[in-house]
Amino acid sequence: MEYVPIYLIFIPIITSMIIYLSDNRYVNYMTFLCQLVLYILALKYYMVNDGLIEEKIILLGGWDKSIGIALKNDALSMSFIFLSIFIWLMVLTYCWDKRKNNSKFLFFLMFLQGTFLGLLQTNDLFNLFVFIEIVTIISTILIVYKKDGYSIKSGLYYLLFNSVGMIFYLIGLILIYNLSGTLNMDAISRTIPSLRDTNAIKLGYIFIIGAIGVKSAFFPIYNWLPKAHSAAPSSISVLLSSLLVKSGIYAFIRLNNMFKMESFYEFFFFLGFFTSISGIIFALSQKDIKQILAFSTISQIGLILMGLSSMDGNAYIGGIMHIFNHAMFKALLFMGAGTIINTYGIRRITEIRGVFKRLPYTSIFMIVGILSITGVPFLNGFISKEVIKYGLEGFYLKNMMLYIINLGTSIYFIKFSQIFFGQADREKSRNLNNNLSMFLLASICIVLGSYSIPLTEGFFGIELLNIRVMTTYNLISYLIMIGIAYLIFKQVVEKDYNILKKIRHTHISFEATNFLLVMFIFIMMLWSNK
Amino acid sequence: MNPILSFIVVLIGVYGLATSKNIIKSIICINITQTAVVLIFLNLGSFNFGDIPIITDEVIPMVDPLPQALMITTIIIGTTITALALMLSIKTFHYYGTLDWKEMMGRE
Amino acid sequence: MTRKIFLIAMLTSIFILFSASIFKSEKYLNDFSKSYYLSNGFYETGSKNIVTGIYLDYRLFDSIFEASILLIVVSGIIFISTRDDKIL
Repeated sequence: MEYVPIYLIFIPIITSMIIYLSDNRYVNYMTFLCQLVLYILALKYYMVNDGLIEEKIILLGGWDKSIGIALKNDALSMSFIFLSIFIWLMVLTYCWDKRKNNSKFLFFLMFLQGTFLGLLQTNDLFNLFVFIEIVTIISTILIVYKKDGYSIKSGLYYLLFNSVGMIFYLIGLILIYNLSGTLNMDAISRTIPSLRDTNAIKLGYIFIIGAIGVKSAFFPIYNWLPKAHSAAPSSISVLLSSLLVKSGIYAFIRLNNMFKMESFYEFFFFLGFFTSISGIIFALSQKDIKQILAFSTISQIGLILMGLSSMDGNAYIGGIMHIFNHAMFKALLFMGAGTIINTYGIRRITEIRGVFKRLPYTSIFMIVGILSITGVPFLNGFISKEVIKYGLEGFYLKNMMLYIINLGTSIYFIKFSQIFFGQADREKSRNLNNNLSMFLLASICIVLGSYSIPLTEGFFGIELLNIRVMTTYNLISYLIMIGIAYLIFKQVVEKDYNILKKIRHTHISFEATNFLLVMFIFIMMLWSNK
Repeated sequence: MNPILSFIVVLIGVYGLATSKNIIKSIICINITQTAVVLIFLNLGSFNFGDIPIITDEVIPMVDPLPQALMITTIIIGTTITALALMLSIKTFHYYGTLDWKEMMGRE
Repeated sequence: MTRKIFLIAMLTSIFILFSASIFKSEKYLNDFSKSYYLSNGFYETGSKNIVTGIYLDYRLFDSIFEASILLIVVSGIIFISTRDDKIL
């Protein structure tokens, strides 16, 4: 029972190899068996160790703590493990109709699960680098799975830009290793406090945060995300946008807990704000259904970063809760978008009409997702946004920024929801697998709306102060926000001015993105020296 | 002196990445940068200019063996990423007929 | 042209900061793991080449996943290069 973290990494990998070697369509059902076994093992490990309030460390090979590689599990990594097994189960249910005979696809998908569970548990800096590179390579192969021109172009851009980011990670790693003598994250966090003012540690921190910023789509360097997430097949879009982009944010949390550089926390707050605003502006101008959702992912990651930037207190907990809630409703929305594209065959929202009449169940679940992302008081998006707002109480400017972001989210989702109205010219179509997984996700959204705060308190062992969840004040302020958003939409966005056309057609090519990465590192250097 | 020269090669690689308009040139610049990072690792691990870390009967100062072991992994990762990127660029050339970044990204 | 000049200015400032940090950090160097590997490497792993001892004994977990990168990339390249007969 004490070697469960190692089993969690290697069971999906061995399952993937068995599926690939025996090219049989009955053996492909082993994926579901694998998910069940992983869930039971993770649950039992969680129960046996009393909810993992203190951390549990496994030293691989039995070597000394600062010499070998260690795997660490605490409450944060366990909750990410549960979330990832659940999302993988939903993705498998969603795509089972099309891919149940395709053992190559399942080979790559299961291998990705094994290495992702390894990324969540590692406690060593170089091991984190190897896992992030494997996740990048397998994601590239899955993005180009359809092998048409748009997918291969986007996959190439994604692969090259993430490799450039990881090169900077290595330079930061060697600067830190020289001064701390070890590569274990716990040991480094004990030797850092006496070295925090040296130039080498600050420069190492800047390079590593630059690399993690590439992976988690911060403000100037998010350009790979809309191309990659909209070119992938539908089930891989779900996985990328709800889970794999959170791996960068997970590494960000771990590295900030290791370094604890307090002078950068204000910088991250404003960086999150700029990420969110630029995501909203670009989302307002797009017409492709998946590009709107991809830019919405960028905007929500900006919101998560605004919550996480204080690394302590209520806003930090709100940021972590928003990671989980965002995974749920973004997966729901991407699944609905995939079903719509499969039935209609076109991707522009100005031409898709009458979804409500033609795919009634899908559209009901998608409406639950849209209400949840804009923050309706019964569903789960509202709770995490309220906790973030509660954590930033007293700063009038920061509350104003949060309100602008919520307003912007409502505007482009009103633009998105014009696909539901109108007439449909063909009869209804049935997709049982898609609807089943979407039903499970929508019900989780509704359940988490009421039980999110007790769950978070029980899981992480903290005390959230009394936050009143369902009052009429919140409902009325939500309706006022929807009203303002509708007015702005009618006056400004629907007319499709020339500036929106120009924003829609800007393409940032590869050399400009690298220039922006160098500028990002330069701005961080200026901030640290002021 | 040596780590500074290796870092100049890294910066030359990054300058090439930020100004190259051809896909193959970008891939070669990534390769140059990764090789220069390997050089930085090996240089910064050997501040005392000792001998190679193989145990013989003499007692001499030796260099740090850990960055050398990490660099074996890094070289393999760099080579495989170059191979995958070259394969993908061959496929884009079949589809789009051009190897220029701006033309390829602009064409739908 | 202005973009290139700006780029060279930023890269020069990064270079100056890097060399300053290397020169100033010479008194903070920590060689805990280096002395551990050189003094106990032969006794614990049994190999005279300490780099091999680290790569295959202390850090075997990294080496397993690096070998699996080779597996993934080779199978991915073979998969991408096969031609579907629908797209010609």
